[in-house]
Amino acid sequence: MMAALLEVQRLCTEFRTRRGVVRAVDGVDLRLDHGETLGIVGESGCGKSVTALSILRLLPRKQGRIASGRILYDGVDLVSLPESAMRRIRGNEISMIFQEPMTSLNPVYTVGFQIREVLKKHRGLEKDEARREAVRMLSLVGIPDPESRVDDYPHQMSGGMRQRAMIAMALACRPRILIADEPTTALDVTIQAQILDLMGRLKEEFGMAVLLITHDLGVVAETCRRVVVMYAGKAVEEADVEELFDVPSHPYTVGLFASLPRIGGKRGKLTPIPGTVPSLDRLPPGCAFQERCPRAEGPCFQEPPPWTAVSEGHRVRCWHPVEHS
Amino acid sequence: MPWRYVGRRLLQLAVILFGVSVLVFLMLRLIPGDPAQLLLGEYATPAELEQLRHKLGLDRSLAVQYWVYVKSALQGDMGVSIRTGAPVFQEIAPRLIATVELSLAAMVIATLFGVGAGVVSAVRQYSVWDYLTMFLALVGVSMPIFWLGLMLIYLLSVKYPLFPMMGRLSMGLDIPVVTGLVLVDALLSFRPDVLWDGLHHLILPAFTLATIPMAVVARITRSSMLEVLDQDYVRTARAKGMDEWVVILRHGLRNAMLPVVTVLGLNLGLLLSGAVLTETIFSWPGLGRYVVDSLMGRDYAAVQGCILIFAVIMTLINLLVDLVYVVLDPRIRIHE
Repeated sequence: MMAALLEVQRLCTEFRTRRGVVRAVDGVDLRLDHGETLGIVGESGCGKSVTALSILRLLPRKQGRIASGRILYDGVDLVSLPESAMRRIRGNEISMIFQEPMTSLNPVYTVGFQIREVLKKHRGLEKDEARREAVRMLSLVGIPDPESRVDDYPHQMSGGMRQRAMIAMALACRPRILIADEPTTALDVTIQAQILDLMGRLKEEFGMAVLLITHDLGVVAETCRRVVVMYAGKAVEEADVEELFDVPSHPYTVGLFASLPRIGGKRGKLTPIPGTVPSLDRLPPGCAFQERCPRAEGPCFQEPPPWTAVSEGHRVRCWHPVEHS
Repeated sequence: MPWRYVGRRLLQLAVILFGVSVLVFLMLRLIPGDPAQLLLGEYATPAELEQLRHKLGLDRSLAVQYWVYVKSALQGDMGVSIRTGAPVFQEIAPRLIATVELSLAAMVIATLFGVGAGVVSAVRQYSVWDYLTMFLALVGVSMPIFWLGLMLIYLLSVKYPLFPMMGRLSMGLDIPVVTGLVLVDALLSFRPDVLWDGLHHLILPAFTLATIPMAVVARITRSSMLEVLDQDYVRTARAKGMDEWVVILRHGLRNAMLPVVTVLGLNLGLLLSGAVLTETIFSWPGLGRYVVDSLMGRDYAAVQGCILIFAVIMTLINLLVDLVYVVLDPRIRIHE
């Protein structure tokens, strides 16, 4: 097996809150290969964004910290890397785009300035050269009339345009990994499709690996090869996309699918997952999903479930996985 | 630069000045006290008083008095000071410049140290430095200015004579007056010795005057920075691999400056029109002391002139603050 481009091993990330220390990410493993798209799916608060922020070490300093685990990028552990070396990786080898294109760009600088900044920092380009490159990036992400839009301020652009600009900025230095944290959540459905399209195209063009974080299974189906489902800070199921959609094994994953409307399916009520995500500082012993799980019994209330292989490349963390015949 | 907007604001200034002139004119005459009596003393005969009142035009109706005042003011004649007999304009101009020099120096100190301390406090929130700065800021706003001034004089001029006690320049030093600002004139006439002496005289009063604005600016900067540093775009800047100082100053501070600029503008206006205590303690020949003395002497023309100047200053500073907003934040647009 070839060495992974990025390998997260038993990552634990903790947050200090008023009610004590909370483990937002608890022993998560991820593996991202060259040129691959890996999806992380889960409800809000399941730890998927925190996992992403942990990889780039962008956790809010006062509250968050990586408690244990390793994040191997090209064999180098990012967790123990000095901050200055980390800065050379951020925006250069590993880039990140965020959910809110409205607030993720600095309102007082032009889009061009914000792209030039990263080119100057990592590639040492001079002003004119950086500007030309910024225009090129804007045209690459499909912004019309990039020569003049490069001098626009973020508020002069629509949400979709801003996300395109964010992507241009993130990809300006040709990173090897793009971490996209809910990149389409804040956008209209039509714009969502365009942005996903664009990301797919650029991924091929640049040969990047993408770590896509989303709560939207539709997005996953369209873009990812492999998926990790997270619940309450833990990865609970991992499989190739087709496999996961065909034979979801964790009752939580099954619940996620059941709560989705399907085109062409029988008309009928959607089945929501009952209850809410338990508060991370009051997780029950045993499986974190027990309170909402129709199959919970016996060991579910005592022991956290271990990983079980369902088939090759498909594993689940459940005492009573759903069986498909 | 939005010139039409500036022009319109300056036109508004005329209206403001008219309003201020009426108000000051009436209020001054509502205060008990007779200028003639004050000038001639309590043993003056009624006939003498009557004669002086007539000479000063005080025996005419208020409307006529105001009309005379406005007519000459529009021709650039602000009237004559009844205490010195000199034209008010000649009295005010040099004092105004002295006050401007002191206030600007105080603002420079307040801005540099206030903003600096606020930024460090926000970046190192809940650190020893943060607590210390915020404690000092609290002391700064609560300390009586006259007490601080006197203590500084006692410690740094009397006990350890490091700084001069009073005035703008040492005796015997003289330079041609071009702008009236000692430091600028010293530079213009290539006199480093005068520059140094002027600075030396300026430091204590400027620092005294700067204490309150510095404390206020530090607190505002801190809270504004704390808010901005939590914004998504600051995280984006970090995700781009920017150096931490770039993140804090370029992406943080620039966005945090709007409330700070507001406070700076307000304080500059206050300093320019109300540095009475500091000017008195340090014998600084500025406008603050002059307006108080004039008021005590019921020197109507002098007080009216000063208040009009203050109104102009306040309006101009407000305009300046609004223009700085536009420069700082491209989302703020002027509606023509």
